Amino acid sequence: MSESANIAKNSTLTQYLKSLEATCGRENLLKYLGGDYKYSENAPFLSVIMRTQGKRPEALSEVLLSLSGQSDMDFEVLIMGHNLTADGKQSVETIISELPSFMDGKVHLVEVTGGSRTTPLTKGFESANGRYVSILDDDDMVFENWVEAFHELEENNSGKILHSYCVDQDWRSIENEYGETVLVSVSPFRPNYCCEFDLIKQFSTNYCPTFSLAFPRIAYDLLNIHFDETLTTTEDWDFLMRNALICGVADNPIVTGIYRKWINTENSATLHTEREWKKNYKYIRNKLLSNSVLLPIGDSTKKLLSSQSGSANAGEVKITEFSVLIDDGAGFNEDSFAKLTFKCEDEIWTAEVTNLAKFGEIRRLRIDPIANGSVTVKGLAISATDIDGNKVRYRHDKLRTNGLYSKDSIIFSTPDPQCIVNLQDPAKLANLAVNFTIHYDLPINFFRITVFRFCIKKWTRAVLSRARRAASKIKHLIR
Amino acid sequence: MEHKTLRAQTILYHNDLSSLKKSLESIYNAVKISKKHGGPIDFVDVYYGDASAEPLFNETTVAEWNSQFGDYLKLKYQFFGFNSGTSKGQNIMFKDCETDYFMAYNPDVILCPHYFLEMMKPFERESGVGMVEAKQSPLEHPKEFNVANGIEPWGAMACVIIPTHVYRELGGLDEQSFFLYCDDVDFSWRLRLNGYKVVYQSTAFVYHSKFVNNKGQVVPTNAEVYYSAEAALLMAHKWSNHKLLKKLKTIFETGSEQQQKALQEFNRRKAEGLLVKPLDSDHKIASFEGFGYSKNRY
Repeated sequence: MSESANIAKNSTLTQYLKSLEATCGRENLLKYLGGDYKYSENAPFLSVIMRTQGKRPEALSEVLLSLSGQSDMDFEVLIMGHNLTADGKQSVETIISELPSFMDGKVHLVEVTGGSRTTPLTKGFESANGRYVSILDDDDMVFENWVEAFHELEENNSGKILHSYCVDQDWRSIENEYGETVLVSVSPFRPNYCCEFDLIKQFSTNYCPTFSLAFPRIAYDLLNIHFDETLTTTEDWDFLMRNALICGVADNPIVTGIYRKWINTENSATLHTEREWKKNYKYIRNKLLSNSVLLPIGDSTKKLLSSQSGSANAGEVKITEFSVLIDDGAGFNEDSFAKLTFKCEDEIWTAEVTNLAKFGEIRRLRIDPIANGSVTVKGLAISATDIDGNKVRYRHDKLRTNGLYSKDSIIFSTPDPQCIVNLQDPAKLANLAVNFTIHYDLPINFFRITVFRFCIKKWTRAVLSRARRAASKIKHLIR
Repeated sequence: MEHKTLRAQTILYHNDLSSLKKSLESIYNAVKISKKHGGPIDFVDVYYGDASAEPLFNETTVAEWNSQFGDYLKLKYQFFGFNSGTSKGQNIMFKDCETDYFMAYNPDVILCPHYFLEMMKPFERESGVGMVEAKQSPLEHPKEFNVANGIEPWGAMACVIIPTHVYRELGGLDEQSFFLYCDDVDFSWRLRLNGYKVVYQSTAFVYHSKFVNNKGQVVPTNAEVYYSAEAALLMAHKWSNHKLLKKLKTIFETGSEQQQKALQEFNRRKAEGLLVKPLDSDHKIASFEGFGYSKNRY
């Protein structure tokens, strides 16, 4: 080994590459980097892996119907029959055989016996022929654009995980008076999974139902990123994170499916104990923390810095919500918003308004630091110049606010935070500058401050009340 | 099981031929499965009424499709030469219908394999069923229904089966009032007014493509907004809900462009005596809920 290699052997980069090499082997790694990988000639774009135990034939039929309706039919479906009974197997086989002819040859039953709930996924990836693989459960549902949305995304993002949005909805499975199983939706759609993939947020919880993702098969085959079969829950989160940290993720921000939440039937949430969920969660977190990670260019690094530093720059993503409203006698309304320009220097923000003259005589100014949520504004200083060039300053402690003063800060913990400046006399202003630092969280001592103030208030009220009662008694005695 | 004949009618309007073929293939498959399991339907007459500006089909294509699917269905095609809307189009085609049952459906729906087996069940197990509605997937309609027996206040005609004599007895859809929307609500209410039941058969599902936005909402087109506004006024008039009609008029007067246009059209018809005679003056059938036509589950 050369001297230079020895010198660098403990570097993060060396360790990262070594761990990658240990997982997939040098040859595979070089093949992956060189793009030296061939799919079979008839490989479809997408392999759909669908786990089933053959216990929900109605739901299975419905999800297969939603696959029949795809605008892009470049896919295969591998139904992973896990520990099927003879009846279960027959039911699944009948369902497949009765599909319309345009589904001929697309849907295959692959039987899997033994192992955990992860085993069928492993077998599914091993049997898949597609360039991409997605996991669609036998009780979810997809819109016509599901395959198409992934396929479109592949064009410029080949090799990345493909991600689209989905909605969730509550469903019940009910038996009617004729003994038929009826599946009924019981809630409107909720857009809980209609958001961009956020790698940093994903470190703490999984925000992606499996079918909202399509994984590049090359990562499974060459990089050996496989399912961890020791996991009994959240195996999808573990698998996604290990893939995402190597492949990256591309978003197509359109809704492509319904994540059905069954509120009266057996599901993974009811089948496993809370202890088991926690144990698996801790195990995955430890795995994530035990390796170096690669952050893709762009948002992830920015978000990581934001969440850790708590600096003014940390609020950059929300600074556009900072607004100044002008009351020219008509009150605050949708026309009251002033056009702002922002500057930031040494963590101090300046929001400037230069076209105030158009409002005429101004009676009040209102500052909304954020549309909604908790925020702390520090060192708020407002200065204005009237149309004659006179400068006016408004002290932050003279403002009317629904926040809580603490030294030079105003802490907002309730919805719709506001500060209002009442101008003593209506003034014709030309421009305005608002200086502040902003933290999109509450200070550590917030609860101490509020509890202390609450106690003082209570104590003062009690003392005043006793004093009033004593005074009234004295008055009575004197009479 | 007693054999029954059925005609499936749909109105085409600038559709894509590949999606029509997929839908037809699913009908073919559902008939095949029905026959395999000894169900009452073993052949279907499919009737396309084309309301597009130019014909979507020529004789060759119809012949090709008939040859491909001829084992279980026969396709008939008629080009209207004008935009008939659903009500008028269905009525035109129905005139020569002689089958036991009549199916009205959206031309691009995909039927589940057991569709005919499941849809015919309510007719077999009880009398007085005037219409059976299939469950639409992936967006199930939120209207309330009796989960135990499937009875519902009205059925959406995205895919329904009606006994032919019932459709004829009721005079078909109200083409004088409705062009696109609410013809199905009106027909359902008239069924109930005449003592028939409307049944939601959720074990028979059809794929009816819809999209939702990133807030989880279905976004209607301008045409949908217009025709549903027009239909809302006509429904309130026809089903004797004068209070709602007044309220709608007030809202539409200053409402969106489509709503104002719908109100103008309603006023024109009223002035020209084109509105139909109101029904259900004692409010036994019509169930207006806010601006909807039934209570919803959510």
